[in-house]
Amino acid sequence: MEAHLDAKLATLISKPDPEPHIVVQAELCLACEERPCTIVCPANLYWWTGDQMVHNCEGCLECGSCRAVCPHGAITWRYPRGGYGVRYRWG
Amino acid sequence: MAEHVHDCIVVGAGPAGAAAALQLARDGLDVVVFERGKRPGEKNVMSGVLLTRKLHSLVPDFRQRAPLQRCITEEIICILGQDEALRLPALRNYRRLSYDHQAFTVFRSEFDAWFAQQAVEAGAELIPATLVEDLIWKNGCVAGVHTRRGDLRARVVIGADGVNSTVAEKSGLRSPPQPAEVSLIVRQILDLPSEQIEERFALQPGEGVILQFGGLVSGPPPVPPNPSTSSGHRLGGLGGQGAYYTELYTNRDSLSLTAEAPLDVLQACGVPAYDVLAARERHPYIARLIQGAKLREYQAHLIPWGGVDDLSCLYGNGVLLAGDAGKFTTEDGVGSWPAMASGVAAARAVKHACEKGDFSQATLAAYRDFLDEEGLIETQREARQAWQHEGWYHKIRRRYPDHLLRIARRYFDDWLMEEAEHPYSPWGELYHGLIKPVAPWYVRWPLGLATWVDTRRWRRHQARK
Repeated sequence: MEAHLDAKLATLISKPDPEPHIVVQAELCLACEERPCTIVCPANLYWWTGDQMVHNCEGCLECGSCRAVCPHGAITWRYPRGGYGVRYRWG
Repeated sequence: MAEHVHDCIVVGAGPAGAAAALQLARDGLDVVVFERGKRPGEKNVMSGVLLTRKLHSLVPDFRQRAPLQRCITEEIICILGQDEALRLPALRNYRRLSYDHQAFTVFRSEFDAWFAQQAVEAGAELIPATLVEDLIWKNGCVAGVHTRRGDLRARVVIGADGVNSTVAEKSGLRSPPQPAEVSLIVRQILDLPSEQIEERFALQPGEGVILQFGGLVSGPPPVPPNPSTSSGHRLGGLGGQGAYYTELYTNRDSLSLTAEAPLDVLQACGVPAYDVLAARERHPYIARLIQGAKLREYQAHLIPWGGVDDLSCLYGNGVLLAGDAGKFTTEDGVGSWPAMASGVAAARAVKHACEKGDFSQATLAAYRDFLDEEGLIETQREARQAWQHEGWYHKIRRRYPDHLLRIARRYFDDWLMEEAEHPYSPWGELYHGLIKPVAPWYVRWPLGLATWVDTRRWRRHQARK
């Protein structure tokens, strides 16, 4: 019943955009203390390895939370191009 | 040959865009709708209930034709404690099945596709799988849109492209959403056969319920608040606890379980939304309701709330904003009927401008009047007010669950409580827990005095025993 996040994400159909739709200026993240993107992203696509920020564009749910919370404007986020990205069957 | 100029381009085929396109097509205008999904609705998520107030006036026979799940006949509110649940009085109203403006659970992937189809049948042109990336300007006026598949020109553009609206940002009407203005909703669809749903919730086929859960979810100690971010001072230290809305809806053969919180609250609490959802799933009250259900899909979306400060940011030269792009949600965060109503208002403003032959901001300001007719100016104002008092509401939401559960424990004679020392009489508890934090002084003083007298009498009575 209680599925782990990976199992939850595995229920989604997604076709990643070959042109990455999230671009992170990782050098700005070095100065960031809160790193709210690692908390709010509902697909857990951002994580801090201890000395740098790593992110993944595949599996994005296209909510835009990361862009809204980033205090340094380091995240350039746009929608994937038409026909790409997540496809909710039961939205 | 001169490039063809359409009357109107609608960006986004959600409820706002489709309603605008439907209205424009019915008025005989030449309208094109862009949708970034391959099919309208496949990018859209909402908590699950569609209020059909506006839909009923657009498509009166929608009940026979639209893909609906269940008609909501009951709303239940529950306060969840660590391992207890307090169910507040709920009203089940079977007459709702015969109302004109019923509330239905729907899947947006099905509903939006159907609704956009209504616009297409009325004469609108739908271009799916195409992302609008920029606007085309001509003499300081929006004159069309730019996509990877080419440019398209129109006399006016309606931006109905949701909370992360490209049209709103590129036209300079609104900036990207701030954490305090949006809430993140995560949702999962759980498969459960319809007979089991009807048995568990005591429903007939076609009837459905909403369960709303309040209460706190604990998390790890929060990150020390940074005074430079808005969350720091707006809500104060949260101590790793946050009030989240959780909701459970019944669909035909599945349940939707959602958790929702403003982004700045999530950020201040330091608990990811999926952990909140998982904590809710484990709560015994919910766990028993969703027992045996299999996960079908996991979703996330941002919901704007709090309205706009200044309504003039909803229209510019050759451009209008409708739906989530214009933050049309009620104070409770309901966006379905405001989206449709704002779409219709935008369509009327476009028709008005077409008749005048002028698409400047001054002419499109008629949008305000049409919004007022739909009751949306009032909605925006109420939403804004609620948002401005959010710090206060948040305090209440954090305190009330505890108080209510304490009072309920005394009222229902929980045997664990018999040993405990009570500071107040049962009435006093009610006053101190519920009334004192919110009441103005002229209520607080007399009731406070009465409570003091009552508590004294109660103490004396206890001592005699």
